[in-house]
Amino acid sequence: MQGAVDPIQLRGARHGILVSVREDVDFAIALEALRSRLAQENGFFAGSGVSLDLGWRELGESEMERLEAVLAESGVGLLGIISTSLTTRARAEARGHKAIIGRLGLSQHQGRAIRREGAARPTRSPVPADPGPQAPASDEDPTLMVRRTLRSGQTVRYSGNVVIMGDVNPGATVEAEGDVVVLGSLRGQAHAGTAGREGSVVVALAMLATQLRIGELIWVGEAEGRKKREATPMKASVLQGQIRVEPFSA
Amino acid sequence: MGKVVVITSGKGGVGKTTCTANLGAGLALGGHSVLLVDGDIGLRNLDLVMGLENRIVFDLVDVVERKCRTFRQALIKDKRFENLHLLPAAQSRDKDAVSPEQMQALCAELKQAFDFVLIDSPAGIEHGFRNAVAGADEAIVVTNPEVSAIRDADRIVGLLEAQEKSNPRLVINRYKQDMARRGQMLSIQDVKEILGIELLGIVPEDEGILSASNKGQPAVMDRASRAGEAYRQIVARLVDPSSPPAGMPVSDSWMDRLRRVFTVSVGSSGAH
Repeated sequence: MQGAVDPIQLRGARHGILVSVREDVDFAIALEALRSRLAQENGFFAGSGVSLDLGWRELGESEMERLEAVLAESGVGLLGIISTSLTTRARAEARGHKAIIGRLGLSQHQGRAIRREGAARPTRSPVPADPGPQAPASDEDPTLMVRRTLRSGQTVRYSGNVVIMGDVNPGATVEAEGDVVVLGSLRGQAHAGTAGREGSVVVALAMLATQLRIGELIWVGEAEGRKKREATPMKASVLQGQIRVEPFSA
Repeated sequence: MGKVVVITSGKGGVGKTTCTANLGAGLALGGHSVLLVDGDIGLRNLDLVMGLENRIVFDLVDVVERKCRTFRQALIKDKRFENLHLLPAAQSRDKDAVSPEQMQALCAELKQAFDFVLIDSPAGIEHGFRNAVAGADEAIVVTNPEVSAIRDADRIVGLLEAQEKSNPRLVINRYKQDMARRGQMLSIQDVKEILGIELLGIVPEDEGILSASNKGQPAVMDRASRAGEAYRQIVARLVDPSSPPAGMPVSDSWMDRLRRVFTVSVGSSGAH
């Protein structure tokens, strides 16, 4: 089996089996691969549990159901779903599964590091080992694209940069180990450099946040009086141990 | 086959039940067959607002638990309308008495028999909310122009999106144009900017709504009621999406203001 074209990969993990599903393969094909792979193992996995790494794939309600059916058919329990997609995680949680944000799917780093089967994949932060508090986010950092508006109560947490193509509404939270970029109005909470990297920045097309965090620092702005129409692109960064919010220019 | 529409809000007290009653009555007046379902198990209200409390024999939980032969046995026909029925909630049980799967099955059955099935959702985002939205094809989110109601509505919209109840539509209830103009209340623009969903209509603050509810007489039946007029427009838009959203603030010229002052003074002098 060739690691690069196989839509799924199975690895033993501390708790049960970790199944990674490529994002760039049609879901039906990936599902069929999973079904035949589990059948191949001839009930070896029956009674045990799998964790599914779905990467950034957005799973629909019916796809989730089909996935559950395939697992049930093979007698394999679903321990949880690992995904960088908020929609997928929300849907998994709505159906009573455990869902955690994390790990990159198999196709995320095309051309950089498609790992051969058997080679250990990093299990945590893809951000390089602690680059020191003042280091800016590297251009090499992985970036999570969120193509929607984050609404109250929704959280995106990522071990790289986060770009929101939409608004961040009041009551929503974005936490990134790298930079946070909002291509819309930022009214909710943004926390850049969560791992303590104070070189990280928060940029928003309309900066309407009343509180921002970078690393360990907190900035509290005036609560009222600003409307989207008046707001301009702003950048928040750390200058001399304080968060400064100023008009953004590249 | 009809469709199932859930009326929900997150926050309590914004007017879900009033909205459900009025839209139901309005649709029935327009000749559609309508079933109102009270999804607020344990805190039933819709029967009161419709003035049908004394006729409840079976309820939603009885239907789900098959204590009555068919759902039809539990329906209360509203005698004022040709085609309006109510499926009341149980008062002595709580939300766990019904599961989302049971609601889905029930809704699938109900929409075979009615043009519109309107579900009045309980406040909150827990079990009762999940039950109410489980079988719905569409959702209407009711909010008031105040920050807490909007924050909750935003949460609800997010949850609806996660459940693939796409394109929920918005009703802004208890809107006071004067206060919004003075900047004391959020404007329609502010609300739209945050929620970013399609506006179905705006219902003005109207004291008549309260007395109408207490009398069990939906305001939509009252030709003179401003809120009733807004509900009639929302009903029109529900049936035909190309009709304009209800209660869009019209241009407020000095003539309008003069006319309003005049009407108010006539009204008060009449009271003396």
